[in-house]
Amino acid sequence: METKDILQNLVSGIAIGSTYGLIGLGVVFLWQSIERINFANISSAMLSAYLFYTFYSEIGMGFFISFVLSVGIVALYGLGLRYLIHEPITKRGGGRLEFVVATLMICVLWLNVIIVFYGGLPKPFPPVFGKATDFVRFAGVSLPVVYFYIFLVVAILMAFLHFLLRKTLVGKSLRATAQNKEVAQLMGVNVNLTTSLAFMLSTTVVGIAGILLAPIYFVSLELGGGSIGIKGFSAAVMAGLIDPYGAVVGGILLGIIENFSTLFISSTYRDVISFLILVAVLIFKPKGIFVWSLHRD
Amino acid sequence: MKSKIFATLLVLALLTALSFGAIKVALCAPFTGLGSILGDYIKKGAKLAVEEINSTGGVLGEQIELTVYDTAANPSTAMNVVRRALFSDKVVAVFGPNMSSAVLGVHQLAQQAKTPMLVGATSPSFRFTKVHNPFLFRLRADDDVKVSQLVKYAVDVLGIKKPGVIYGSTDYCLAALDVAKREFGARGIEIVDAEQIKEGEKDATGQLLKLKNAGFDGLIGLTHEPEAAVVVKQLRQLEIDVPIIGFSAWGVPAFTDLAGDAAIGVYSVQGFNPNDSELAVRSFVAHYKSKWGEEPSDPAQAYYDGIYLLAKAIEIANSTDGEKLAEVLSNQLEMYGVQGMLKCDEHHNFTSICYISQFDGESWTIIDKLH
Amino acid sequence: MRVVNWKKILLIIALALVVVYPFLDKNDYRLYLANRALIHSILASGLVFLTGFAGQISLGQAGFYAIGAYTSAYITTRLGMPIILGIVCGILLSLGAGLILSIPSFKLKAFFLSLVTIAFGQIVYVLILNLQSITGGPYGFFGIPPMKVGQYYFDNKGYYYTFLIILVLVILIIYRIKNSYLGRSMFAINDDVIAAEVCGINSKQSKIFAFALSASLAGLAGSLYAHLAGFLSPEPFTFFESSNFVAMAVVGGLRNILGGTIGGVILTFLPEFLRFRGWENYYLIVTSLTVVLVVVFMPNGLGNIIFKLFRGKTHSHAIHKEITTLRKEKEGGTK
Repeated sequence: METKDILQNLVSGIAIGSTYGLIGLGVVFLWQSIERINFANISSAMLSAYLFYTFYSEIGMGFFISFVLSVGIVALYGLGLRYLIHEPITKRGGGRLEFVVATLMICVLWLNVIIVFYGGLPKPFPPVFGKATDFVRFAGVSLPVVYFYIFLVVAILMAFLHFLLRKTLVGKSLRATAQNKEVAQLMGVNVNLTTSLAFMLSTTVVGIAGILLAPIYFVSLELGGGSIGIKGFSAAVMAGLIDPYGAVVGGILLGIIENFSTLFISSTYRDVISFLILVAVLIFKPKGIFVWSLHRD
Repeated sequence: MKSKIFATLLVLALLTALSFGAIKVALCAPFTGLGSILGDYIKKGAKLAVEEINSTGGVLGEQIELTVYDTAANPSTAMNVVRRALFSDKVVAVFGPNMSSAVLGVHQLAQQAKTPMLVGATSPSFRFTKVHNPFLFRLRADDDVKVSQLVKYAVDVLGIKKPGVIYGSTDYCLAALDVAKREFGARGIEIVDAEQIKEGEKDATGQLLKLKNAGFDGLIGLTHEPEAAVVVKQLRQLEIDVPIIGFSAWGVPAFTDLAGDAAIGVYSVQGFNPNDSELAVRSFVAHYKSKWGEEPSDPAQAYYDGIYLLAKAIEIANSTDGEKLAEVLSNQLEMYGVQGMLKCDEHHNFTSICYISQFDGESWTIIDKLH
Repeated sequence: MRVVNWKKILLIIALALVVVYPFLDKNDYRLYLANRALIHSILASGLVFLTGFAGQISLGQAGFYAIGAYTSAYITTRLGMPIILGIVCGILLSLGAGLILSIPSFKLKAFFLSLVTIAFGQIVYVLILNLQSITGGPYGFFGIPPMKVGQYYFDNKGYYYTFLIILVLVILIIYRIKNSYLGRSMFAINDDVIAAEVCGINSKQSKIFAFALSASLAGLAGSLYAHLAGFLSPEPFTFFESSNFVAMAVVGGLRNILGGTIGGVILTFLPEFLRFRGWENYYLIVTSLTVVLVVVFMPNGLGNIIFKLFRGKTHSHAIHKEITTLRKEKEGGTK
């Protein structure tokens, strides 16, 4: 095997892994801000991809308007999640478990809604991020153009979320709410506002991800119920659900592991290997594999 | 007492209305779940035929009533709905399921209910010569036929000597892989490497690099549509220049729409080609387009033919009795349909038509039409 | 007094209906669904025990279900052993897997544990797909023998009574455990691990037990399904099936001894009864929406509402209230 091939495999692994990381960002953010896991996290990606497809390809609106509209609707959906799901559950004495089950079922619900309105056939994504045959080539290694948009957005979102959580008052309020709602409230944090913000931002991040991932995953049910959802969670917990950086690094690591287990072990057992590694990480390093990079709170 | 009599009468009236109202037919196809790509085509093909027949007076003066059930691409759910169709609705015939493992799981129920079951699933594993179910019929060419033609074309015309295979993880893909292995073996050619891409995977770099290092000189694609699109895109990305010939999922719009320009030059063995100049195909395509506003795709034509086959069988038998229908379907019926001459063979397949075609960026050019 | 009698009569009629149901309804389709509902009830009862009583979550229950199903299928079909042995082996193998899976629960909190169980389910699924020589892979596993007594091969009626008896036994066993020292210690741990351990309760032991029991019940359900259906394929053993099982437990009521049965019956019949002509794709939307609404607005599940109709405020309801207040205090006070 040539070095070039190994390098290509590495680059492709990083690329596909960054898509896992992008989804993982939404998971980490919601956990950091309200300590909840939304099992319908990935549904936001599917919703925004289908909305964008409707606005851009079917109605024929411009790219910018379609983008803002679809991400905006998904952000509002985040608010809906809070008021229609999270608040009623909390009010009736439900906890994390009820939230987990409710969001799991919402994930199934959205899949079925999309099937009724769009059918099960995957739709091609308009070539707004380059055509299917547009590649960037460098030193014998190549990558579809769309991945460069993804890298850019990953970098921006990661830095933004990190900055927001660690360096701003908003972020401090968010984390304070997550850790202890009552005390945060006593300290003058507007818990109502921060909770809304947490829900909206987490769906927005995944919504943006959905539009970017659609050229790779297609406008398909895959984006709302396929393995990417579970891999997004894996990416997030690899780093212990602590830092947005961790989610991205975790995702990339997962992508690399997958591609090299295909190349050197077996394409058939690829998923078994990556899930075994996930379980091992959870059991032996439950705080994540990047404890050394942990920011002190 | 009066009310009791009234209730009994009402129930009786309802029962008669139900049993003499129409010719009940059930269609079991996947619409939900991740494997639901084909459901829409199946439903549209069958519905078109039903409406055409009903608008010209139905069969034996009765209208056909089609009930559609979702199998969720899951044999376990298929088992529920087939039971419902057979034992609760007491239909005249069941169309589908369209998934080979599901057919193998439920076909005995059709035998038990003495009701014909006409399916579009393509695995050779439930040929009549293997399962001996006189009520089970197949509306499409089976994979044994198609993959044999694929291998023949790959070797004889494309001159592939070191084939590399990429395959998926469903029964559709694995059955094709088995036939491909056998057919290449019969020609003394060894498959240099076979790599798997599971449904839902979006990166095939590792698999393709392995094939490249094994020195393959032609790619045999035995996956479903989205994975086919992933594979051809990455072949272009990695600048691996080999002829690509794929199985039926590589020859439908669901694949070319997703793959875009990357699909140019791909060969496929198709069960249906809307560009066929045959009159029956042209008229089917025109009717389908005006009804649904889109071009039909495999297996819409199979279920369209199937409804007509059943209608004709009911006319010949002059009855909706399942045993008589099965008898007519297997021995007496000969009909010209979208898929050419339809006649039940020793495997209970009505057709073995397939096309070898190449994609030119717009549509599929027919290279060879095989019967 | 009369009201009480009326309720009692209703209850007796309901029980009698359950017992004679196969003789009242000749519809083979509905009877088959009833059998599947009983299997689901057995599995969901295990989940009610695991989640409601021991406070652990599993989103990989389809994995145990699959292990039970394929083990029994393999032993009876390929090795030609009697069915009872197949079922016992199915239970034992699931039990073993459950014991292994209980280890991470010592260290991990809810969400992380649920990921481990998801990963477990996925691994089992991929193994079914790939270990073709044992499982038949995507082709499916065929020719699994039906149950029989002497020369009588079970039809749907035979299965109905067998499964009903098994389900009643399962519920009785869970009831005994619930009221034993072990059950009470589980409730204590569920409320407050540290306080319970201070009182000398071994939390590890009860977690292991809960996982083992729910895994064996899933294995039992799986092996029963294998013989009822006669064939197996990988599709019914996915992550979505696991979440469906959890939904059954939650809809029925996690604090209710009959929660699994109520949820299992409702969620087996509901989607099938919602298949209307011309609306064939809507049935799953309505089903999942129903589950969401029940979870959000009736966290105690439908089981409690049914119980309330009979007894007014139920005992389990009172416990639940107590626990939620405790939990609220804890969530507010820790960290």
